[in-house]
Amino acid sequence: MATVNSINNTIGNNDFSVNRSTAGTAVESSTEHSDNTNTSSHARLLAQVGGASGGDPYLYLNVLSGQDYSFGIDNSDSDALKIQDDADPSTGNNLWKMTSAGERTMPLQPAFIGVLSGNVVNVTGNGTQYQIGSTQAFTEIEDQGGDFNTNGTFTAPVDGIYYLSSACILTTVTGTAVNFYCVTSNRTMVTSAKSGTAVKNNSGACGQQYSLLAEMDAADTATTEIRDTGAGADTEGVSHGNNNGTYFTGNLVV
Amino acid sequence: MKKVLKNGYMISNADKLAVANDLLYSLEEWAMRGPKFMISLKPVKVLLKKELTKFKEKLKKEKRNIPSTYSQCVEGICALEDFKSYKIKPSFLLKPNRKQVANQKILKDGIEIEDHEYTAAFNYWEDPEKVITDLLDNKIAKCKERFVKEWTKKLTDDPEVTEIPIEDDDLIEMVVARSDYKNRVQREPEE
Repeated sequence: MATVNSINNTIGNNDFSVNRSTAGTAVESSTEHSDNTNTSSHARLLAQVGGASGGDPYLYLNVLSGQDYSFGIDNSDSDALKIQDDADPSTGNNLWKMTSAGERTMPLQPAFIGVLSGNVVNVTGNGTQYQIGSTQAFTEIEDQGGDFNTNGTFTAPVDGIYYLSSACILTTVTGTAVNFYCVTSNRTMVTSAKSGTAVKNNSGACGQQYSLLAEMDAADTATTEIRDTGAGADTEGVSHGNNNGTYFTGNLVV
Repeated sequence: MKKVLKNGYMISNADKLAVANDLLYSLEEWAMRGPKFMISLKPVKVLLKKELTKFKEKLKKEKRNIPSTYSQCVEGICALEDFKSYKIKPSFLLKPNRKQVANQKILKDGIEIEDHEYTAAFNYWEDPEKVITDLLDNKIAKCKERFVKEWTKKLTDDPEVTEIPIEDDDLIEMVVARSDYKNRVQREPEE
């Protein structure tokens, strides 16, 4: 039988709940230790289950008829510490996970890896700025969050600082000024500006690359672009290379 | 084809000026890039990634093959008995600080997306119309924030300036009227 005290707390069936319905006041349950003289004077909240065949010890946060999150140990997944978007650590989508060995993953954190799927010819050389992926699509190796378009455009899902990295193999280089750009909505970053004739190899190819942090607003886009001048015509191309030499990758950092 | 944001979106002159400080193109064009992607291709991609296995299981039981178009897959996924809409709410989205009245309509014809993208959007987002509006609001707010931050410092350092407008919109109008001010289109060729 449940016991309800004067401020509406309930003790029953070995469950204890603290309830309040008065508007404008917080309901609070606390564990406090007032001693400030001994380092063993801890305050501890314990959630413990019976053993490896039992349930999960966890903290559950819920907005009624809205979002819920749970944070705790998934007993059925090798004791991983997890944050889930559901009522317990064994159900719903995993948002953050740390194995008992300490490896951490965030399976829904925006991140993408795209490699160019084939070669393109005659895209720059006479000053044309070419968006890599726009006429020859990228192959999507991974796209956590679904933010990467295979035309080479990454769309930031939230405001943040993103790590972006790209490399490109420019072919049949005869121009004099190779520029490699990271183009985000708010700024264009020229990541290299080199003389094509000076940096190309015996086959007439040259490699360009960048890695940087870009501040992006939600729904801003990022592309990787190449431009060469001085060839007299757009006679230069981009190769996907034998080992995924032209790629565009990125992830949300903070 | 289906339309979202059928009633367009209202901006003020200061909004437009602040956005031009950051973008090489108009806010309208910006909306047709990232925000359009977020209510069209992104929901399709996420639904396919997360739900295609369940859809395939159902088709296997019915001894049917997988449809070859995104459109059929999305319709099939959303029609699954145990499929639940995600109802995702956008977060971290700011509202622009406005003194001026937003009296200029942009995106008058809305944003057109494919039927299956529309289905995916309404099963992925809680309210795709609000997503677009929130993204536009957030973009303007961030552009204004950066504009005010950059120019408050410049004006403070300028010995000829005796007062800095308290309202963001007034500050933006004042700065744009200065002879040394250049928006991004004007700045970029020089850099």
